[in-house]
Amino acid sequence: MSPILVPTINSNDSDALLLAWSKNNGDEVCKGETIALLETTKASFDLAAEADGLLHTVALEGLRHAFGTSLGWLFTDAAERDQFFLRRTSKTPAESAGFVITKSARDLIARNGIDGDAIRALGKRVIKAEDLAPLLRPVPEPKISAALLPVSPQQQSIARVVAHSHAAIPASFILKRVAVDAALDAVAQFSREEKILAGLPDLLVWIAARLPETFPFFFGALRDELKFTPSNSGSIGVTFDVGHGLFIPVVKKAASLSLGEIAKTMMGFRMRAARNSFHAEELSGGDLTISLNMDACVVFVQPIIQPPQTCMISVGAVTAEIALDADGKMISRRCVHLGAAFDHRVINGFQANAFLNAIAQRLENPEPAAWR
Amino acid sequence: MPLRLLQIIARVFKTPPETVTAESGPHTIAAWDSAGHLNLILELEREFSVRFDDDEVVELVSVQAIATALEKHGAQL
Repeated sequence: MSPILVPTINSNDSDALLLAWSKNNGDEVCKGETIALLETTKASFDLAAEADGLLHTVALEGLRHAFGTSLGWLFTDAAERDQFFLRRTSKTPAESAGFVITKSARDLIARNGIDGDAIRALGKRVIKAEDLAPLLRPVPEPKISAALLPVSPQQQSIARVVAHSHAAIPASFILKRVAVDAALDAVAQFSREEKILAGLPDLLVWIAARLPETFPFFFGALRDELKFTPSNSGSIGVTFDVGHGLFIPVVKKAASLSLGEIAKTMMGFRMRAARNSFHAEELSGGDLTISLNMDACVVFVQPIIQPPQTCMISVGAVTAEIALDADGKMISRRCVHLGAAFDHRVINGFQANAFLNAIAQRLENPEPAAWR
Repeated sequence: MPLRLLQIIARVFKTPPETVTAESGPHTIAAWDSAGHLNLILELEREFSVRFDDDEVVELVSVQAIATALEKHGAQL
């Protein structure tokens, strides 16, 4: 017999929400099989059985359970389970006093830890499950003040990160307008040829992931006492918010991925943002983050650098504008506002300008042959 | 091509239904970008009671490809 414990899923939470049991009470489960779905403020998480056995569920769905607490039990076989409950129920004072307790009532008593004195006080000789209703602990209703709106656990986690960022990082910001006609046309052509849906965000990830060697202070981690650890992995975080909260999954080692592979990864992230189904490991490990704010008419959003990173790129909506070409003739072109918030302790404006120029140059002069 | 599918796509992208054909895709419908694609996929899942795999979603870039995928998932077109 072994307890089913809530694992420590991440360091930002102290508990997890039991969304649902994936198996029924009494089911035989195999080692590695998913038995429950948990959720923290960061992601959902499949809880796997640590051994073969018979599942006995105790924790209730829809409630939060602290890391390290028991959700239920895994028994080696039915004999072990029955013996376990025989021991537990035989200790119930109510039964030892001559009461008869039905099996469903015994399960309820075990699940809720109902005291024997309370059962005796019911004044019944046969205790059925429905008799126990007055003794069940009510699920506490969240108390909402008329003057306050509750802040979700996920938003509380975001609040901690942005507050830390504001307190710890002296950030500066640079913004440039970049023509993207060539990039949009090339990506559209690439999508038709590869029969996938790629876009400007995917290309930005592809470009950024290939810049760490030229701009090392933009990719990595700045710890206390100005100790900077660069990273050449090209792992790029990207913001996604489709109405279910802000997520920043990371395209891992994007420097080794083709544009098509990045587009597939990013579309998967969009789906998981819509379904709130990220895995914890997808939400960590970024060296730099791109903040996508491309809804119509958005000029830019001031990015907030995620510690210990040192830079966050911001890109706004594609907009049309009238401009003058080299010959002074009026032309129509499509542009985005491309910005970068940067940690001024290790990056100065000159470098930030060069960094955005490098991205802009690759957008204005795309080389699709390198994307495959 | 099933009329119901064409009508859903036209509704999502706010385009006249008669302009949507089996060959329509991001290259013919301006609103069919990454965000629009997500909206379309979620609407199709709701209308046809199917669930696409995350990996296949990026490849559903034409009406014909979508119809084929829906049939594979057992949708009643």
